[in-house]
Amino acid sequence: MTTAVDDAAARRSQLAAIEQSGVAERFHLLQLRNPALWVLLWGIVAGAVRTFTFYRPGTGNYGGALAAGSVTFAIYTVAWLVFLHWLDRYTPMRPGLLAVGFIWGAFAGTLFLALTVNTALLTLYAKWFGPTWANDWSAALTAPFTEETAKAIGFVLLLGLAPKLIRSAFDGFVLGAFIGLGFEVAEDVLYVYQGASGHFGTRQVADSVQMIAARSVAGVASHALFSALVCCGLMWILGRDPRGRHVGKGLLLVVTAMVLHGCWDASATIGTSIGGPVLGAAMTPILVVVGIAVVLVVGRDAAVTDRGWARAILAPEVERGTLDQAELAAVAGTHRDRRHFVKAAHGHHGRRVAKHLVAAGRDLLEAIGRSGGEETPEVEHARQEVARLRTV
Amino acid sequence: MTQHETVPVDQRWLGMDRRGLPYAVVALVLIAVLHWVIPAIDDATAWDDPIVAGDVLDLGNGITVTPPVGWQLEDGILTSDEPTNPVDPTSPGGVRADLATGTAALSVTGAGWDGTANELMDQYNRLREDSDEDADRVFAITGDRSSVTTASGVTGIEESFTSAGGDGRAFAFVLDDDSGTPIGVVIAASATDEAFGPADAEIDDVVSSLTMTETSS
Repeated sequence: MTTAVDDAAARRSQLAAIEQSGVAERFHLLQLRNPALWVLLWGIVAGAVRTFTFYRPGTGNYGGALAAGSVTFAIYTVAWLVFLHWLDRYTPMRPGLLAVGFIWGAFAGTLFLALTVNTALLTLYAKWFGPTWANDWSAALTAPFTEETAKAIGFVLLLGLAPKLIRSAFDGFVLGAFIGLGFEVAEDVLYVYQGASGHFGTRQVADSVQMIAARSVAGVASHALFSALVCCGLMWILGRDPRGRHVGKGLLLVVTAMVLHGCWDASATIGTSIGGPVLGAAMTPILVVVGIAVVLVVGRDAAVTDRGWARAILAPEVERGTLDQAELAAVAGTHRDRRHFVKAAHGHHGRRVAKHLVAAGRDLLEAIGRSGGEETPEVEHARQEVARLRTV
Repeated sequence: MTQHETVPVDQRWLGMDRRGLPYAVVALVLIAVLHWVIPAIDDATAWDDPIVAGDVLDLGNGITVTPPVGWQLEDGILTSDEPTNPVDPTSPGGVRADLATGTAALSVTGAGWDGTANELMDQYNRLREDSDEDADRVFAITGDRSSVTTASGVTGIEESFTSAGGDGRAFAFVLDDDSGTPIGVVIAASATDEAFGPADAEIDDVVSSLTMTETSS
């Protein structure tokens, strides 16, 4: 039996979690007096202009490849968005903020910054160490620094624009993934476009298909993953997660992302040097597995704060009987907690209902968070959905 | 002005929200490093990898060309090098080498090619017309095509043109690599100051040196 004191404490914790997580805050991009906005807009506009001027002359020769790459990776992006939406399930970030991050990665990060500095640094390495060394190692010693920095600049600017919305290591993880995804997709299209010039541009279909396949596989553990690690690391370094500043952990994440990125760019060289052509060919799947393992561990740790907020936000709903403790644990828990909850249900129908209850619980979590803890029609509707699903 | 745009008085600097200033400054510094500082260092750094007597450019799968002594090797692998990843003209990106001297720049491009040398020259020109590099795109063919034969007996096509820098010469060849795969090779030279001068004869030597060497494997 709960008491009025328990209810009041749960309510205070709920409001504190909503306040601390920033889940009720709206994202306002057009903060005309915020200098971060103007730098952000400059980067994006410069990137968009550079993208147009870069591709325009080649559309006559490689327009087909450009279109094929754009359409394919647009579909690829949708799949990623579905996954990232599922990932960001505790105190979801505002779509507008994530969209701006994606756009920074796609325009400012790639053709405005990375292409310019990469070209210069790759040439510098060739000047300093010779073309042979540069051929083997320059990409691995360029992109991890230049591209991760180009993407992180967008994250820094968004921190300046939305400090109340980016409040935990997991927020950095998710926003970083969106910035990285934008960069990744733009880079994929660029690779398909450039790959079409192979064979003097006469086998564009075959070369494009080959490049799309290769980039799609590699993209599973590529820029989205690297940036998630870097931006999560920056949150720890800056001490913006309520668990405090952890510079060592943050630096470790940034360095891990850069090492993984470098290994990607020199995968054939590293693999061949260590274990010959066989390991050289096997490096891609190995790096995909290692990358996913790393991101799972990091994401699980980063989400501890957000899971705590989710529990606090939903706790009053347990007091009022909307959810029970097991449901709360599944909704605010890890993927494993959700699986245990679903498995504990009886029969196929029971497990189906359990899955729906978890989803409805997450809708309720988001509705309460977005409402700032107020009673709104959206919150009431979400409660009714939970109740309705129990009777199905 | 809506509430979110209202900046507290004590947080203003020249009317701007100073809370966003550190982020903007950090971002600007990093952008400056990436967009201006590193490219400026590159521009200020001279090439220092001159070709010496005996150097031979490896175009992969047994195909080689001898570059002129004293020219700077800006991109490309020599047969004396031991790259971890072997040069392969049949790879999607093909193979490329770039050389430069005071009055000329020379590029060698190789990739799988099923057509004739004439068709290769046509395609090379078609790609240049739509290049994203102004220096490549602005050119005009001067004179008719002529045949050219290398010292090893490979016959190709030569064409002259004028470009932004001045004189230009392009050569197209098709030869089989060590596995019998036909490889198209385009050697293109552009003057950087009106005329080739002494580089003209060196370009002839480069073209003449194009050969397919049977590999021991």
